[in-house]
Amino acid sequence: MRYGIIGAGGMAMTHASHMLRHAATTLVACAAKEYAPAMQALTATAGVLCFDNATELLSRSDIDAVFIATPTDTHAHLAIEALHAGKHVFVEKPLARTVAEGRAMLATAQATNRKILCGQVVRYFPEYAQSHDLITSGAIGRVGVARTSRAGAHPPPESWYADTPRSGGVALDLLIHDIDWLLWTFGPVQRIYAKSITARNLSGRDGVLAILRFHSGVIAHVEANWAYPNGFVTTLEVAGSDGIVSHRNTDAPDVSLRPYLHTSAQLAPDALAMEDPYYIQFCAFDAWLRGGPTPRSTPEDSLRSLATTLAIVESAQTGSVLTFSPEGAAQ
Amino acid sequence: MTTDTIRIGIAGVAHGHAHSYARAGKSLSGVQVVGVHDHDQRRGQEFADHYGLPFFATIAALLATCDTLMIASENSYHHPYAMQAAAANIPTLCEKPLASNVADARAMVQAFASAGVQLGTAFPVRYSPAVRRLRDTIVNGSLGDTLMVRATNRGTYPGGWFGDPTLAGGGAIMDHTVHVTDLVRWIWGREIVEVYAEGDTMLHDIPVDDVGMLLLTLDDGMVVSLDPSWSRPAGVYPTWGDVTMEVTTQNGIVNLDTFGPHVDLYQKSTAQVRWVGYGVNFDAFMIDDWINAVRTGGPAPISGVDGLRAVEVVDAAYRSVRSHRPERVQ
Repeated sequence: MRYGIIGAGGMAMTHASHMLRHAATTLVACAAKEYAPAMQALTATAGVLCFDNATELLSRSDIDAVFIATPTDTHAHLAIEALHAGKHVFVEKPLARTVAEGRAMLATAQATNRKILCGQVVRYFPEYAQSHDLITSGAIGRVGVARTSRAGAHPPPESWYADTPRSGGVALDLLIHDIDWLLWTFGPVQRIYAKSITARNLSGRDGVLAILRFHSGVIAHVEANWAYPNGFVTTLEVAGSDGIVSHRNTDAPDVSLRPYLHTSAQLAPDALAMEDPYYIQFCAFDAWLRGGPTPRSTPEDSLRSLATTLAIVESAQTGSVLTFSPEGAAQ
Repeated sequence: MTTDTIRIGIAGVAHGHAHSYARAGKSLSGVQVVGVHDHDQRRGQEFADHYGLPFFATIAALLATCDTLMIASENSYHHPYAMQAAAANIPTLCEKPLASNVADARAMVQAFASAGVQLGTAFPVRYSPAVRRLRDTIVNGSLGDTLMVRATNRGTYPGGWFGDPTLAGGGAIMDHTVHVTDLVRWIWGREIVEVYAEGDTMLHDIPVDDVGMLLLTLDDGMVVSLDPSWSRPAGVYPTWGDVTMEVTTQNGIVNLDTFGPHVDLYQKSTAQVRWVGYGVNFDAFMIDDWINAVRTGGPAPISGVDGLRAVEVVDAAYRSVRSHRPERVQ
């Protein structure tokens, strides 16, 4: 399979490394408004073509599928342009900035008979997949209450992530991961009430707390936090009639280093990277394009995760309790 | 060397790895498990029936149908099974410890060397991504010299034949010294030359040792301590055991917890707390690597000599337990 990448940020380069690593895939070209040093390195080391616009990349006949890893508000028009150019599309999460955009992307994929997938990588994180499997196989009985949190430092002010109209802020960056996992595990949401500190426009601080009620009866609390001084912490706890499943990403790493300062000490990279959830996700997408099974999250799943997360933002903004039918329609 | 399906024979089903081998036959492409033998016919037949495999009443009959033998019997049966496989020129992957005593292990290595056929030892922990990262980190040299290592390979008492001195050849020290010994030899590329050990039966009513503590000295002076005890309380401790190292180097401290990543499961109906691991399946990588060596005729990824060296360390440990002195590895 022959790929192109639109975007030159961190995620774009992660995807690029997978295309170069996978024995049966090639990375033909990258496109970004400004040539990033990372792109030039790809040209130098792997002969990857570089363009300063997506249209030129999309016009090439030697590209079967494109990865879109650009600011969120550009996902929709780039994906739709790519689909019309006959390319399959993988788009980084969130699927789009708005639900209407997301719907248009899925409709275009159908109309052009191309495949589109959104990266919901948490479904490939082994601890979240393991928890999902334990819970859905009945290991803790009937689930009553769930808690998730995802917390890290605020993006730098000059970053597009910090531009909420473009990115959707902390909700579309962090919260959507846990929302997607919750919908995957517990089914559709019935009711949402949320509070956030977004409207206070604090420099370098953002966060949201929400309560979700699912049609299955599960009550969930979710937190997304962009006010940590440093580090990245995710927690998950689900309690049912027969017990609890819990995980915290800072527990029990399998290998870790405490170096002396002013030495060159550093851990070697994970050369095998067999567990890398992003790589497993890439392989699942690639196999799907070759006629293999549908990946763990469907495009419709990603649209639901987007709609639910944006409903949380709306509830926090309006102070309203939002209710939904089991089909996901707002009521 | 054959390029089509590799036919696996399973010799002995007393060790849990027999299940890994049987499942690998179903999940790996180009591999087929052709049958099972066990000196305990009833146990072997049950295992064979469970996986829908033929049972062979003799090792000789099984060897006549397979390209590679995988031994997962009690320790004391490794030697007779392996010697027959060597005589039949069948590459053999043997469960650890390679044998229940040094003489048997040496004879096995010698027999396969004479036959010019691969003998491998099943040390799956080498396939842990965390262990590979630690090894790469040490080999890269950014940490400077390794000064000392504090290791554990603790577990729950496995029961059954593991507590039978005739079948197992020893207790916790026999069972749990060899993994870390092999990791240390592989990661640092040095040999263990001296062992001091304490060991006894303190926690269970069994005729083999269930607690122990070892101090190993390498040929460059590096020191490693190892706790191989069956000290994790069954039914209460949240997992079977561990393989950990704290590595003190010139430039920092590295911690390895091979089976560390887990989800906590608190379960009312079983009155248990469990750590449900989500790491990769080391066994599958080990089997894949072994099959590849059989297919290409290449060297065993983890050799019989590697297995023998670990048994020699066990032997020195038991001698030390009796003599109350540090003992040379021979």
